[in-house]
Amino acid sequence: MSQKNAIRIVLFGLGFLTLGFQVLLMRGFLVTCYGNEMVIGILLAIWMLLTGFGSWVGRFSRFTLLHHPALMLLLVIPGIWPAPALFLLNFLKAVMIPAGSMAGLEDVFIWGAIVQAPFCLCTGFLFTVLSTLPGTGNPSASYAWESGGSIVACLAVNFIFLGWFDLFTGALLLSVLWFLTVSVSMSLRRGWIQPGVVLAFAAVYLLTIFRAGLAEQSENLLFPDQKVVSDRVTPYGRISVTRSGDQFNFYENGLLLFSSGNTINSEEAVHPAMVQRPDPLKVLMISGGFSGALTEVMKYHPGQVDYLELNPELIRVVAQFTSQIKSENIRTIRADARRFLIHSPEQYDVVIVNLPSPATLQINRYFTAEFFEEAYRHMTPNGVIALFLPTASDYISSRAADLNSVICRTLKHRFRNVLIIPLEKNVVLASDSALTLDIPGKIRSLGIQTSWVNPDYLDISQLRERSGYLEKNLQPTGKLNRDFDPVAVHYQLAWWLGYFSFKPLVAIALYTLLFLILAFSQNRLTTGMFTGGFTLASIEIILILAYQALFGYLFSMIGAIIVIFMAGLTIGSWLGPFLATRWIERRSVIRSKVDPEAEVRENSLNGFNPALRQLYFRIQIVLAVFSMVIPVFLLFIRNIAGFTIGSHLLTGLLCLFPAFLIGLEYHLSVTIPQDRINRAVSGSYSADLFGSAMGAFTTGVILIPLAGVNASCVLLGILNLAGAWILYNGRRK
Amino acid sequence: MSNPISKRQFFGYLMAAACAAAGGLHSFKTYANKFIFMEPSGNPGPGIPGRYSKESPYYVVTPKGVQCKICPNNCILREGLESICRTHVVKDQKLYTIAYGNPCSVHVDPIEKKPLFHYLPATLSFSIATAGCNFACLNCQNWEISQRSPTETENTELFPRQVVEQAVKSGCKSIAYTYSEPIAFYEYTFDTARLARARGIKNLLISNGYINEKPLRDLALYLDAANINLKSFSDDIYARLNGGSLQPVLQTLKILKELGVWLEITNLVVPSWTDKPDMIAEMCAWLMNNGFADTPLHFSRFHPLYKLTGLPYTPLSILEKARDIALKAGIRFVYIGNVPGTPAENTYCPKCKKTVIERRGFNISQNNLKNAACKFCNTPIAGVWQ
Ligand code: SF4
Repeated sequence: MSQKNAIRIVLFGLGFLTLGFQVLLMRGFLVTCYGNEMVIGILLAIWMLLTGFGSWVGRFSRFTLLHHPALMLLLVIPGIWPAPALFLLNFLKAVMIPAGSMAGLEDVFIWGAIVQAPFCLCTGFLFTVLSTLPGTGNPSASYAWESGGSIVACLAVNFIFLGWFDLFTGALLLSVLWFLTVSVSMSLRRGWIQPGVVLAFAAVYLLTIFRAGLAEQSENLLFPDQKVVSDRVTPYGRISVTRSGDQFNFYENGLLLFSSGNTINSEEAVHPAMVQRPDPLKVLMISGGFSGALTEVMKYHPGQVDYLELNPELIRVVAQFTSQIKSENIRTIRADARRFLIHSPEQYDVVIVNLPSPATLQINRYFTAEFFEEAYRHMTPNGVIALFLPTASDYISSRAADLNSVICRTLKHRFRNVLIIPLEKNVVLASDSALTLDIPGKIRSLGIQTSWVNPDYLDISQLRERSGYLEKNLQPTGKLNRDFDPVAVHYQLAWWLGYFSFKPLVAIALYTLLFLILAFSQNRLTTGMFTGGFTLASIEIILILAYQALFGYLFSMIGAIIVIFMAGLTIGSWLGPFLATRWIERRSVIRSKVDPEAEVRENSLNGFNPALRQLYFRIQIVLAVFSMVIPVFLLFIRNIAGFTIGSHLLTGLLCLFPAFLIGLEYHLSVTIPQDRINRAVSGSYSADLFGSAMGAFTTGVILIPLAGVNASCVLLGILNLAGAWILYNGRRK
Repeated sequence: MSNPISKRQFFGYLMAAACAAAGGLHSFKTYANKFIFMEPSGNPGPGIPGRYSKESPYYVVTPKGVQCKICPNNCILREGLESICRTHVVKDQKLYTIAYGNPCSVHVDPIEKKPLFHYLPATLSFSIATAGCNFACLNCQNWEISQRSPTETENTELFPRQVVEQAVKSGCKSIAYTYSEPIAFYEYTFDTARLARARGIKNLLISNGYINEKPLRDLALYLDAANINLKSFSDDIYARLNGGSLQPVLQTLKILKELGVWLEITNLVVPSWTDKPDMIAEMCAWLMNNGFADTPLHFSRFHPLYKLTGLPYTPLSILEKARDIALKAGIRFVYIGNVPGTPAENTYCPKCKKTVIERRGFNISQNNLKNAACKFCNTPIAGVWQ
């Protein structure tokens, strides 16, 4: 086997290992840091920055052979890192912050850097080295092979690993596959001695990890003084069940969903809404029913309860550890509620959105004007909807007031009456008919047996006083919370940041500085990769958000969107050489007809191929225009195409097209400069990653929550125009 | 690679950005505060005593700065520095409180919510708090006021005289200094308590008890009842969970008892922090040895809040175990809080074990107390009942 093919196999494996570990590690972080989008945005940004830096350092490498001993050693490091990294994460948490407490932003930065650095630096470095070893061939083909590995990993990890294995087993499996890949590619080229060493090392290593019981120790660190009785990684999140005393605690991604026997939460979730319509025919409950809330609903003897839960594993695991109410009137539906409502013909008297407050874009979909509109269509004329926000009964801060205000405003936009009731959480009710605050009085007159929501604990005059206090502090005018302008996420994020004495100016200054350094350290070609990476990561986030908002969360579709993006990159970089050659030929023919001297003149400028540079320039312009018209496509899908195959195909094209362009751009950026190839590869690859890092963070955490999708798309367009301008400007100098 | 943006160009851009940033800093900061992170604006900054300030009676001027003597933090402050409790500042070598007449939280609550079970049951208490606290508990349920300065919160103007007027007007028998930490707004508490005493309104201190002896003895002259949160019985846990220490709190308990202030104690049972039976037993033994057998003890259920959201609710079985330990140690009135519907909210006669007061939430559903004694066996039940 030629060195070229051996390297391509390794590159494919590298793509597989990198993406696979990234998915597993992010799941680990979600649990350890109770991750929201900001945390994940930060971690992904650190990941890509480190990988980018590793790739940039790769330009200084002098390796010429795949089986060079030092290179072999470097190939081993990413293979041994995944499982210990998962343990290290929990270990750092256990030693660095008090038991049970939430990780601060600085912790996320530090842990993210420590846990990711060895892997990311190494894989980034390896990418540049492997892509530029003599005999590797076209570097854009290397990019395509690596992306190909990522595509397979995305499919394998999301659809196989996460369903069947826990994080540790998944990580060990990744290691096994990586060691096998490296060994096989070596053996095909150099016999079995070196691969034998690698495999023997791998076997000893895996045995050591198993013997050390790293997985159990890691769990114990995560849930101090609790016994972990079940821990499952599902595509929708990681579900952990622990026992403390006689109580079972159910966690999703490290966040406590509920503890068994806690009546306060389940009663508050149900009775304020149910007493408004005490003879309901149909009730819709979205999530959180198995905590005891369904039992409370059944006290009103409704004709039918549709209970929607997205994660089937959660249903199974809760049933395993707690006794659940059984009734043929309860219909448990495993579906995303927004998706369900699109097709459902049902009309409900009571809709209970039993979800946490809108801390993520995913949850925010149930707090937007569009969702309220959809829910309204499925409610009877007297129907009532209930949702829950962070409490503020003793004091409402401006942060909490903003969050409560925007949700109340958005509800008022659709419903005639909105009522906010300060209990352990703020219960927000909305209806076109009258609503009463006298929950305790109603409970008593209906004779419903409760232990918390009743006149013994809730006094109507105090409820009035506190509800009035809240009302007084809410701002009636301002933005609404919308699918594509999720302002509530921003308010919730600001509220959460209040935990950590967050210094906004320092953070903004640091972010701006990093952005400026990364942006201005690019040359005119890698600027294109930087803006391209930025754009692609941003478009990916926007389209995933848009899809979920339009059609509901469907795990397989989100996976498909990511795969299409990577496929686009692969195709673009794969077809790059062919398309570039065609372009040059076409342009030469035209040029030589018009001005035979032009080619010679332009070639003398900076050693760049002018035809390719022009193509590169045009791609930038197309990307800019494309970014700006995304909102038009989304509008078309929402208002005209609807939930059809055509819409799905269009969404697929919207993903594929920009990814294809970036893949092509990558080929051009490593081909145009007549420079040392490893400098070109490291420059372009790191620029792509730096751009993606900044894009994922900026768009997911800052732009969308602050400015909304439309403005974000326009800003992306402007960014790409700037990239094009720099390229153009460079040519003229 | 050819033709990168030159270093000169790069620094040129950077300079331009820096100038723009410096020029626009003021409006940018206003924008960031108002729209991005929603800090309230228009309040005086720390170090500027204003309308809601008063000189503190407890400080000494040292060569290192002005030292506050209200609580064992004993902050040494200079102008422009913020105290640990965020409510005290220094100006012209004098210590001022900036939490005076500007409460951020004003409500009327049932007295049982404080909790005070043996003091004027079924009455209402006018409850006030300013921002600020001399602790920094990881599980604070009122962190949005306790971990803020009064300059950062939305406040109501309510000077001591007005507080008393409002309490009378709202039919409350007492004023509770609560929610955040009254020791942090000591001067406001003191002046209000003095006026309230003159008007026959009772004063309730709901506090962490982290206060120096002199200010406590001075304040206790006007106090009628207190609930002190004994957060654990370990210095180490006090340091790591709350940012304080144990001994000053124990001293507070002794002084309040000595001065005849009606006292109840709350112990929040936080899983993996304060739920160890040995420590609870040690705490109960200390209480017994120091004459607190008749002091009601409330074991309170922890709810995952603020920074401790990684912990579960306290299991009921642990709370019941803690209650058993306390009863076995000899403490006569032991309650479980934050668990609706539990029979451990009732008062039982320590002798005949019959229910003397049956509580349902904040209401009394059965009262078998006669002349402050169990009506079945005539055993006196400690408390201030009328
Ligand atoms: S009351 Fe405040 S300023 Fe005074 S010592 Fe305590 S924390 Fe420091």
